[in-house]
Amino acid sequence: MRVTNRQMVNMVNNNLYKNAEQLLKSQERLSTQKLINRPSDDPIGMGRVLDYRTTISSIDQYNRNITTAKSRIEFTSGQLEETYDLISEAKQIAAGQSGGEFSEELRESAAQEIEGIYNQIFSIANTKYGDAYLFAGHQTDTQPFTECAAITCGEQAGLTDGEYFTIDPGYYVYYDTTGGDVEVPDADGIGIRVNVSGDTSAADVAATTMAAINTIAGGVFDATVPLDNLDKVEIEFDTGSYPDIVDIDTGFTTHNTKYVGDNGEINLIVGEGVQVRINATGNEVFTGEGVTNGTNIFDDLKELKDALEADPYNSTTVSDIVDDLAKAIDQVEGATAKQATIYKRLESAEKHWERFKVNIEDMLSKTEDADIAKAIVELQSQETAYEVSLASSAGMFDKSLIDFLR
Amino acid sequence: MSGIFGIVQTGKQALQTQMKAIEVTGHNIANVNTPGFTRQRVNLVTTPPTSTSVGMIGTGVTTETVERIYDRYLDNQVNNETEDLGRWEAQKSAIERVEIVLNEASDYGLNQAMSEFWNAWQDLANNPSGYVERVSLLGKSETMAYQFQQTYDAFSPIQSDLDASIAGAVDEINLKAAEIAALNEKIVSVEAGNVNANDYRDVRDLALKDLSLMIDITSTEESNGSIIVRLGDGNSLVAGNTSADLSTINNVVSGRKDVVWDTAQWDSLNDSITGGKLKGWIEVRDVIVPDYEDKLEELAEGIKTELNALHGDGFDLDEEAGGDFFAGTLLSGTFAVDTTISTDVNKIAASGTVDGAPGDNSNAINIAELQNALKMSGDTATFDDYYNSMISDVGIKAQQSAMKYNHQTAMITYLDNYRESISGVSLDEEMVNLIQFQHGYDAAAKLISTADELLQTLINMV
Repeated sequence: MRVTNRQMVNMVNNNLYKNAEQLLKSQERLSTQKLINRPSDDPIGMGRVLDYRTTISSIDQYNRNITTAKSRIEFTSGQLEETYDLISEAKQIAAGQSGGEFSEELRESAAQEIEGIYNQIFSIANTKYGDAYLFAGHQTDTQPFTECAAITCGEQAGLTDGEYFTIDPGYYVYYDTTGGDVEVPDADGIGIRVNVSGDTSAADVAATTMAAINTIAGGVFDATVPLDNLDKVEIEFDTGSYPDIVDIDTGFTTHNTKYVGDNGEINLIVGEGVQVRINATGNEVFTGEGVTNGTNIFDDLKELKDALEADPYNSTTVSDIVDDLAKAIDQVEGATAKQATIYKRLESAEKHWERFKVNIEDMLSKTEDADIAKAIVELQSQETAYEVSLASSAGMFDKSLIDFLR
Repeated sequence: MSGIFGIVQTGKQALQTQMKAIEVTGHNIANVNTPGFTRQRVNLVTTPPTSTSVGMIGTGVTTETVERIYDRYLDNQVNNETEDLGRWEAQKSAIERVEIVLNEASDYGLNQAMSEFWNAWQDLANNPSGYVERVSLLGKSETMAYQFQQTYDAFSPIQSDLDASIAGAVDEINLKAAEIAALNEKIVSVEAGNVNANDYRDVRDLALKDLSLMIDITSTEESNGSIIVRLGDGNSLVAGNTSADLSTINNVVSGRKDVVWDTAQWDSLNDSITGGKLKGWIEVRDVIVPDYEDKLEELAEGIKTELNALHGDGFDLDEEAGGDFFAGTLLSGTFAVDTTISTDVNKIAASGTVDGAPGDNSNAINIAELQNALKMSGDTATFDDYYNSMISDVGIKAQQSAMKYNHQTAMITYLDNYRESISGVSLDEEMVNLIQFQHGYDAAAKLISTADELLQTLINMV
């Protein structure tokens, strides 16, 4: 083949251009330490890199969620353990007092101890975690337990003529079940007669009771049937505080605390489409509402205190309360166990993500990062190639026929 | 004529002929670096012999023609490949710009902004009434919306720049066409005298090659040496000594420039252009870039629609149902977080209960779970998948156009080398020729001096 001067120039140019381009590429790889510096370097790899990055970012977020959940559960468990200890103590006191007749002074001091326990548990139930109430369900901005004297209606069938309860000060409510003659009970103060003869359900009894109280003692009391429990009547002073309710004998039970939280579940995301519930509500832990074999811890403690202070003292009542407190212990233990199970689950999720993240980071690195040793070797071999090209090109233009024509 | 004067005559003819050959060699040497130059050769022939009693005796040498050494078919092939080279070169550099707009190889891109946006919803779920979490979510949402808009807006300057490039190319085509027309005229008038217009042909071939880089053409040579250049639509750009002008006009619908004949401005030539830089630019501007714009818009609309729907199902801290979270469109340049939310973060609806319970995070969780929901490409891909595959697609297109460009460059290099090996100047060869002709010249001079001596001898005899 005939070789001309421009051909040589073109070839040299092309080769130098190619060598320099490869050299630049190697240099870029080495200085950024990345194999992929733009999508076209490896389009499929780029897609994978973006996937990996998103996954890692998600894993970091899951880990943050898990940390949040764990510290909340640790805190909750601490509160539950304290509650457990307090109730156990109360149970011990009750068991000690049910054994026989102790002196009135001892019972008095036991009653005071129970009151102390009651107050402590009350404050635990209203604990805040951060600026949110721990046991309030979704109503985290409202104190979940308030002291009150709301009444829950019992079985209407249990009502008999003349049953009554007194509302301090100066009022009592009594029931007329037949709609006719009823013997006015022997009680102090103004009687409020509630005619329940036509009522067929607990809700009816609650509604009638509310109406009767508001008619006779409106202005002093404000009775309401709460929307979330139609079987219940809540009585408060017009001023908003709660009266004492005593001498209950109507199938109604009084509560000393009122739960204004809800049964809202709080879930956190710990994986793709995986959520765990991390909260325990006031009902589950303290009031026992909706819990199998549940019991209202505040009522139990109040009953215990009242029983210890009662004159004459009845040890059977106290030993009954011991059984209730055993239930209360089971209830708190149940809630604690649930939290512990979730904690275990969180820990295993955390471990899973830790391992997974290492794998993904490894894969990301393999796809994206340049192997430094390899890149250096490549760079050096390309440098050599470039130098050889330059040297040989220089040699090529050095000589021509003219040099030999003398 | 024979005899001594015949010898002198032969010597003189030989001197002139060798001189001519040296002139052409000189021309070749002088143009060793001239682009498009085709080496020339003097065709030497013997002059007619004279008859003598002993037979025919030659009367010497003369030049017949000076001709270019070239392969006509090779030039056609170079032009065809140059059209493709122009196309892929233009496309490669334009797509590289698109790639820069969508470059996710650097650490902060839309992909990252989207990840952080979804994560911020999970943070909100961890503390649904938290002010800090709400403000942080707002920040991440605004960043993501801004990134979407900014990426989308970056496409438009690419298209405007391509418009400018297209207008520039059209001007260049007009110049080249006029040049070819002028050369046609010269070549026809020179070659009418039965002489080869070698250098004019070289320049015209080069102009044709330059034209091929811009737009696809077909050229045919007529018997008088003039060429007709036609464009893809069959109309001639150059015919004889006249050239037609191309022009650009703004398309009524797209607002982008259409290539048209200056004399028929209502008829867009865009579709009939199949090669050259014009093809590459038009393709990127009208097909590739709008495709990415559409995809980005689909993604932003998808996120907006799904998010607004879920957000509307939830309730804010003011116990009201959630309003729109995102508002505006990329097309109108208004894609952003809804002003209701950007002015009051309490309007973010994290709760799933009607009374807007502050501890309820169920709606925030629902929204966070959207990240993994299959909502794009006919419910087969997540938002992240959709975007990632779009980035891969840009990479593949850039890679393909680079590969085609490299292939085309190699092809052209090969053809250029082949052409050079036929038509190029080799200095070594020219040096050999130079010596050869010089020796011829020396010998012819010697011939004359010998004839002179013969004549001297003859005169002295008298």
